[in-house]
Amino acid sequence: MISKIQKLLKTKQIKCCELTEKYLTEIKNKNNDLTAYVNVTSEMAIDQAMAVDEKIANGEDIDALDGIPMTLKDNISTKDVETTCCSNILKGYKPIYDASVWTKLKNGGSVLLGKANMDEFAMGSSCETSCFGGAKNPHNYNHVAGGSSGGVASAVGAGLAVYGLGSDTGGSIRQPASFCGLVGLKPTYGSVSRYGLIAYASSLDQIGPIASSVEDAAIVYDEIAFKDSMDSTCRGKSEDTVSHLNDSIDNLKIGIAGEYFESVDAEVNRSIKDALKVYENLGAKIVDISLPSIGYALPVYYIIACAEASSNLGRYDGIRYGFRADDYQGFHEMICKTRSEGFGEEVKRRILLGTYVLSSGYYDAYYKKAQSLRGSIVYGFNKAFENCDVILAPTVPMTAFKCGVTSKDPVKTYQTDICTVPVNIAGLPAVSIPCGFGKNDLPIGMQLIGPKFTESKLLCIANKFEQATDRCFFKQVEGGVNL
Amino acid sequence: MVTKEELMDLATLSKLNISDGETEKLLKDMEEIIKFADTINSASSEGVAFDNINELQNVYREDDIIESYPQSEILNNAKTQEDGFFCISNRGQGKKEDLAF
Repeated sequence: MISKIQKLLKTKQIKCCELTEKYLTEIKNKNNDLTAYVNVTSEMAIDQAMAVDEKIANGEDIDALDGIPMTLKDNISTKDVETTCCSNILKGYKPIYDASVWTKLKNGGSVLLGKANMDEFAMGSSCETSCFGGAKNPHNYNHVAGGSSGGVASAVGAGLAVYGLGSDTGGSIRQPASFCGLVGLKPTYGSVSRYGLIAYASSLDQIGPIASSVEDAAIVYDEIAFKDSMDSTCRGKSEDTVSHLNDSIDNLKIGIAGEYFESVDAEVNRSIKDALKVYENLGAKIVDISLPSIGYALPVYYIIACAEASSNLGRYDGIRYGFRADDYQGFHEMICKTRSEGFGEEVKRRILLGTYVLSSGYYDAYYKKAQSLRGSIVYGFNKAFENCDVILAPTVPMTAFKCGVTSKDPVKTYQTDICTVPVNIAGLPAVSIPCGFGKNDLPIGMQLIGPKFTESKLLCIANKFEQATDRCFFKQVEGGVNL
Repeated sequence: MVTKEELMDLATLSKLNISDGETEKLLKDMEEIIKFADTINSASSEGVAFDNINELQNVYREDDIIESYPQSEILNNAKTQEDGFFCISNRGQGKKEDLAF
């Protein structure tokens, strides 16, 4: 889609303003039902589009993402544009700086259509913990778009944005991409700057693209993965991915770990097995591997993520920004009331759990133990990659949940992250691509996991699947912008 | 099992108020979640280092003074400000006895 639009713009078959207006009209028509966007930035989008049109009219070259209408998850800071993390505690907050990824894209001529819906502070797997209500799945409005980057997936899936940037701490790019039949890339920890990404769990968070094709995801990744002096954990990418998309995959060894398939729905299992046949027909060898350490990845993830979140969310006190409670007696009560009234149920639950695992008497048994097991998980993956080039696994054990189901049992909801969290714990890259449809025509996704900083190989392998299947698992939903 | 007293201690540490109406559900949720977290007890982590999993190395820069954000911009998002300080009243909706930060 991105290359197609770039060609139309460069050959002046369409003006960027026209294109942007199309998207804004479709957003106006569909967003009330989808709740993909929580803030539509029409004026800014048109101004940005006009600047691109001027560049083209002056015969200037345009960059890879110039003029492409896109969206940002609402935890990515945008200067002077409200950024709420879909939490009441940040309603009205306008950052005084842009996230580094947005600075790069904005300077390159990207057109921001608006900020996308998400689970509150990225804590959730359905988008339903958002204070604005959940984003819907464009394939079936009775089902969720997924989380926490549900708004981005809903927008891209419904044709209301060409691509979007989400964030992935425990699967929050890959899971909604899987639910909405899209490509979602969670880059290696440290390849994309987190400066300006409002923190959930700092050792796990990564920004990445959700797009309708592997090529689009690759183009976006190449633009956003750069060394950033504002994030000392960021070193950028090892190499460009777009120029390697059509590399050979001769002698490819794909690892399959039985542990990933233990609680997977039959229809997801079937789609993954069919996908393996596609790779075998392309000449790949399927290798059985074992990853016993991922059996405890889920509790390790929730202990570490909640511990980090309890610290990161300590900054929300009503003093310097955001919501402040009105009725209080004394400074301490002001802070407690602000936090209690401003945070939603799931956020409070995770802060309390994080505080528990870090508290005296429990720190060794939970946090320290979880970090040690984290080391075992890293070791397990390193061992597995001695026998294979890439690991293939389901992204989620099931298709998109029905709306309203997840709030009832938090632990049951946490368990749906079983396939995604090991990758975040180990800091590895993983891409989810559509590989089938389940009942009610809901998309099924599979993920390819690679060693650190091997995004170019991962996306090449993903691209081969897309080409071999003629993108038959990408279904254009009705409505949306169609070019 | 988390007791009501422990839950209140956690709430104090987290600077959260828990109403009577919320206590029962939170105790039940915390019990379920901690039972789920307890599954790590059966796993062995003998001899595994637990720090610097992402193999991060410190990054240094020259100790040069560089431009930061203007004070006025930083104060823009505060509900109340005074003379270049973040400011809150000691009592909400009551008499103004300001605390300046």
